[in-house]
Amino acid sequence: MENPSVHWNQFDRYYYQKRLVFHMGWNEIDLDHYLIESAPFGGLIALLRDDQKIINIKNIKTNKNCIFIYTCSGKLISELDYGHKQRVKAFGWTLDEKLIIVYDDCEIVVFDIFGEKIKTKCITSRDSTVHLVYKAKVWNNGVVILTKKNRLFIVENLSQPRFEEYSVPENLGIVSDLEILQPKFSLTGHTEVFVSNLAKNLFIIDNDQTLEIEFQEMITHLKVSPTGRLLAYYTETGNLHVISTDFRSHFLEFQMNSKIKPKQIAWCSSDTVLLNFEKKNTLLMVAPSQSFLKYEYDEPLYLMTEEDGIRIFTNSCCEFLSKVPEVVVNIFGIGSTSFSSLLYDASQSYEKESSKGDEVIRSKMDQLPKAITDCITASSWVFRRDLQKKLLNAAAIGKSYLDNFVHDIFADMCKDLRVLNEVRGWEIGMPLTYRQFEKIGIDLLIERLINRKHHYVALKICEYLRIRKDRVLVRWACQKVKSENETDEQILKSIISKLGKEENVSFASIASVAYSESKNDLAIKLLDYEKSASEQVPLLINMKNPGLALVKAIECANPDLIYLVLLYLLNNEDINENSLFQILSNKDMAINLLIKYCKYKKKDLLYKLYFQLKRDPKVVGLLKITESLSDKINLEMKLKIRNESLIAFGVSKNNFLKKITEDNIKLVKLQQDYQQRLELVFIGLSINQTTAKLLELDLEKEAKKMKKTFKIPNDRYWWIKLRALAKRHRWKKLYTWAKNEKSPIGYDPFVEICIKNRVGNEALNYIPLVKDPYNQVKFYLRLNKFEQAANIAIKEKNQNLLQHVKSLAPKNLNIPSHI
Amino acid sequence: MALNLSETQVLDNIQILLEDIQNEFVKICNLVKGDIALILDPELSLPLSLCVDPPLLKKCRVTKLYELKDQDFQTTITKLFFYLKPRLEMMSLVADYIRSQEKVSSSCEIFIVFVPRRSMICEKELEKLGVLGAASLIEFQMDLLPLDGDILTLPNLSFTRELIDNDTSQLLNIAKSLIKFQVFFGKFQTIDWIGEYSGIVSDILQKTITSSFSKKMENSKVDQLIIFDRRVDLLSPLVTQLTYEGLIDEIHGLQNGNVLLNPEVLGQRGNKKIRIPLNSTDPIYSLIRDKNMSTMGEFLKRTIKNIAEKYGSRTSAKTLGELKDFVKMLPPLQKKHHSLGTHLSIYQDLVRITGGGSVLKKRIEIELGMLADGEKHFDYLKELIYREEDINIVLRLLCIQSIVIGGLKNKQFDFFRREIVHTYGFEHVVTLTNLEKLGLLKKKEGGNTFNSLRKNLKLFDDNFFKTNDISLVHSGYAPLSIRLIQKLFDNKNGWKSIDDLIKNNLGTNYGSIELVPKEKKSQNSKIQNFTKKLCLVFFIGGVTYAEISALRILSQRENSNVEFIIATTNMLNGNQLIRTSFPEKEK
Repeated sequence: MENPSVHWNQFDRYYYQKRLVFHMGWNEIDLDHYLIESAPFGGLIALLRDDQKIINIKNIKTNKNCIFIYTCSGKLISELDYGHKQRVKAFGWTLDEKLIIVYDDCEIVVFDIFGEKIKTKCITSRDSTVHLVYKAKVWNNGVVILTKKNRLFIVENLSQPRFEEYSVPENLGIVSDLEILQPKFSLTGHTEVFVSNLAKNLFIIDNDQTLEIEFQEMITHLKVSPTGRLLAYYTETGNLHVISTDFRSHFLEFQMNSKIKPKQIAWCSSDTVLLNFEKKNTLLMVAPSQSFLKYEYDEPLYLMTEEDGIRIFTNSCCEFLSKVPEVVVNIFGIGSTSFSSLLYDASQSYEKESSKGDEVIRSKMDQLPKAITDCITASSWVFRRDLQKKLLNAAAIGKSYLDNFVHDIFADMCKDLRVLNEVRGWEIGMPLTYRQFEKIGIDLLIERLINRKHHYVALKICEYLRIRKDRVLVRWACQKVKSENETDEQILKSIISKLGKEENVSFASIASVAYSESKNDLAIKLLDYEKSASEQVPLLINMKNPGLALVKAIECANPDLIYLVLLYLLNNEDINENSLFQILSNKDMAINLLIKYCKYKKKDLLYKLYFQLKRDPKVVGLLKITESLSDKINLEMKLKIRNESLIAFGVSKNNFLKKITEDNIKLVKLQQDYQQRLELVFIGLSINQTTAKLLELDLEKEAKKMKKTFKIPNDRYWWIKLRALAKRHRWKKLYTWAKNEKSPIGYDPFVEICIKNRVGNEALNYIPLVKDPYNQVKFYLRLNKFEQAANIAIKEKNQNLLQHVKSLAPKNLNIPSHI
Repeated sequence: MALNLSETQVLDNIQILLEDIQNEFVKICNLVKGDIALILDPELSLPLSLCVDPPLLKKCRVTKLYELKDQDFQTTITKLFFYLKPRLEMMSLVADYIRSQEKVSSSCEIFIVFVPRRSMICEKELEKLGVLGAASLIEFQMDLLPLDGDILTLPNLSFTRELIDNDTSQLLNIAKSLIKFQVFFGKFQTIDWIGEYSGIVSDILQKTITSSFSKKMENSKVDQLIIFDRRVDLLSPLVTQLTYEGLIDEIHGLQNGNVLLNPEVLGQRGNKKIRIPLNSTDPIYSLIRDKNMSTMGEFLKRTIKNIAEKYGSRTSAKTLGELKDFVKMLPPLQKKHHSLGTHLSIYQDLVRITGGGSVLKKRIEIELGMLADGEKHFDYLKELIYREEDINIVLRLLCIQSIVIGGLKNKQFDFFRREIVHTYGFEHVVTLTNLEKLGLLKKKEGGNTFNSLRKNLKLFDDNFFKTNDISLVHSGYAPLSIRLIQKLFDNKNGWKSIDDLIKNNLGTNYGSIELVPKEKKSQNSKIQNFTKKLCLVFFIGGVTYAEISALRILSQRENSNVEFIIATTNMLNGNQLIRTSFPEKEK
């Protein structure tokens, strides 16, 4: 077995290895004829025919409006039809392998890999002018677009509806290249856009400012490193520079002294920069130390940067170029004396049943744990299964010498490698390195497998790693539903047999696929298995079964779901008011919510609702009255609405409400009259207040008219008049009134009001008229008239009362102590 | 203001509810960098102050606070957070504001934060108004928050208007808050519910509990949940509260556990009202809050004597050790001393207002007469109206009158309604019908259901001083609500023993659910035998301070083995209940 180190190249103090990953499975593909984008982390590659290249017709596969999607092993996944109308200006991948396409009219569409549209978004400004794309760039879930009129639009996250426009400097001119710094890398937390132009400027644009830098020569290529820390740029005279993305440090200047433009420049991890000089059949790797390494190729290339290396595609194969990590060098490096290397060798000698290994291991027991972990780590880096096995074996042997070694990392690595080896095979063709796998995580890996319809593998991995598998099952079921060679019964049976006992399965999402495939019966049957109402209701609405949807929504008392059905009912032209009322009848919770909604949004329906569903015209009248109380409407309107309410009260035979409303209308009319005549505010006052105001103005006659019109009881009238006169301090008038007419409310209130207004002498007028002698005494005492108080007590022959008075009176007053 | 309840909480770690919500708030603020402006739904200002205090705001870089009202305001701060109740009518205001702000600065980051949860109907409205793209929508789950050591509120949900409108849209939020409570404190073992709304909430809880609860929640700290629908007993809030705490609420109004007093009440000068926090961390207050006003004087005197004696022990202290003991005692003593001073002033002021010959005293006598024997006081009621007394007071008493005599005769009914509308204004036509809707005011039809309730549930007990009965909270009237709850503990068969009373006289329904299988429960109860059982009582539609006092009295009875935590949508008193029935004027 050859030592892996024979494939290493020493370069810039490190070793680099260029490893053949796959021989491409495709036939007659010439990369030179295509625009190519690959998804990161060993993802799919998409090929779009480059219509600027003239090709021999024979070499073109099928029609031209399609993008070919291949695995890294060159296995065709699909021919994605991107539509005939528009031109594709840019495309790229999301992490879970959805294809984002930017068309020339600023439409952005996200496709799944089998060509189904998942999302469409169009960038239009408020004035709805159509913009034409000049250059666009796609990353992850974001898109940046520079239009032909130099407007710059950014969508940071396609799953949200927001997009931003950055203001562009006027002197931008013609752009040579455009690159973005993702928001997660930028200091501001917003996307930064780097734009170079023919006038030798570089602009750094973000959401609120633009920085402009002048250069000696024009920049032709811009490339940000995968960590977002470094920017490589290439100039027209053949200079390669590397600077930091905050423009503070300069790391590299490398002169090619050649005017040949590289076809592509790309980062290998964040360590070195690769220049693809296809015309010279050369791929050049440049390190920060200015050293370089030359690879020769005689075919076109496409480079795809990864966080820990770079994938190189040619017509015939896929390679992976990366730095060899130190742990690996320590083990396999020629002449390495590290203990991990010794442990590895020792394990080999074990195989040969030699005892030499044992001595070696026992010689340095203290370094053994690290050596074991190194072997495990190294196994994660190598792709060859035989080497993985040997390294893990070495670790296992080392482990047997230790009692307390934590077994988990060993076991986990075995599991992870098993999963990785599965997806690295030609069939799935996803050459994930261990570091990439750590980065994307198992969830995303499973998602990718499902997207590629590898349900079985995904399910087995879930079971093997003991993680939730409902997602896989549901997606499988969604596929199953589409099956055309099986009957609905068969489909249902096979779905239930696999998913029936699983927890957390969303049957609604399966049912929804069934519905979109026009298998309504199947959909309803599937929906019966759904436990969550919030999943059932929207689908039932979609399936035009609002009655059942409403029942389900009410069952869980969820106002959002109820509203969802109600809005559907209100906005659907096929549903007239009669059928609306029919669906709603006896569903009080829904009716009350609809009433609440109508109060703000649909007043006309509100009244109908009450008439039809509540059968309570009285309420309609009251609603009208409430409406008429609003400060927003004028008096005329108020009267009009109140008159309308009279009809409702009439229908409901509610005489009291009818009478009291009529009274009010009468009152308002009177008030209007007073207001005009007296130029004082009356509107808004109650009947009492109006009467009081008239009395305060000495308009006794008018007040009497009020009394008569509104049948004010005599005693209430007296109270009103009493307060009105007191308020105006008309004490004389008050006294005459009290003397001439007999008060129906007694005279206590007269006394009280005088005391309250601090006119004690006036109060004395009324105390003799007070009926209850106790109250008389009480009043006298409050006015400090002790003799009078005593007299009453004597008159009443009440000894206790007299004592009480005496006890309060000053000593110098001669109050008798006995009757 | 956030409370420190560590010493007084009934349930360990109740503070965690507050901390959780505060963390949530910090998380939301950390969505952006730089200075933040908060724009609040006016109805949220007060609730928010329960969990978000100025230091927290500062920590979260909130530099400006606005209320979202009709008027326009503009700010140079570009990170804007709108905190909104999901009220449809607010959406157009928000939309207007966002549009005007966009004109000023295009680089604004705008978040619309729904409290406590997002609402589809509001989002649809925002979409229609065309601002959905400009703002991000999130939610701030401000659920149950401690108001005191044994009181939790849902501060953003005032659930009184809903009682009139039959609006059930908040019931799900109530259920969700109780689910969250269980995440922290474990599953309830039983639920007892009474009233229609309680039934709905209990239903939702039962469904969720059976479907998705983690193992961790098996370990329940709260044994029982009682859900009480306010509509079962709307009478009790109308009755004047006569505990110390209740009376402060009646006269001065308690807000978030604070009272604002005129300085002269405390014997101080100035115009600015003084804020006094009233809760269980105040050593004197926690002793006197539940006491009937008439026994307070005696109690305060004793406490003064006690403190004076303790101060006196200084002179008798001879050895160094005794002196040391005295010094150790000083800080809590001074705290008590200070608190005692405050409460003496408040008490004296209350005595002045409620004392002999006062209007209030007369009114309370009349009220108790009605409740005790169904006395009729039409002339008194008429005079109140003719004197143009506060309409809240008139309506409270009129409603009590109507309930205790089983409705007003046709003629009286029309007479009082007419006099009220003529005196206080036409809009009260609506108020009166709302009170009718709530069943507080009605025309006489059929028999008097209150009589049998009073008899069977002993709603009136003059002997409360001797028996330490809950009726002391209203000087004789025992709140119906708490009597019903008491039945659950006093009678083995609970509400079943008064099935007919609940179904026919109260006209409502009830139910009981066992959530933990019997075998398991007996295991648990073995361990718990030594400690009191913990019971959460949730009032949908509010609870009065007097009712809370009554529950505290229940748990302090000699043979009681239960301790209560009270949760409520909002605190309630008679005036607030009456005011909710006023017409909602469109502005």
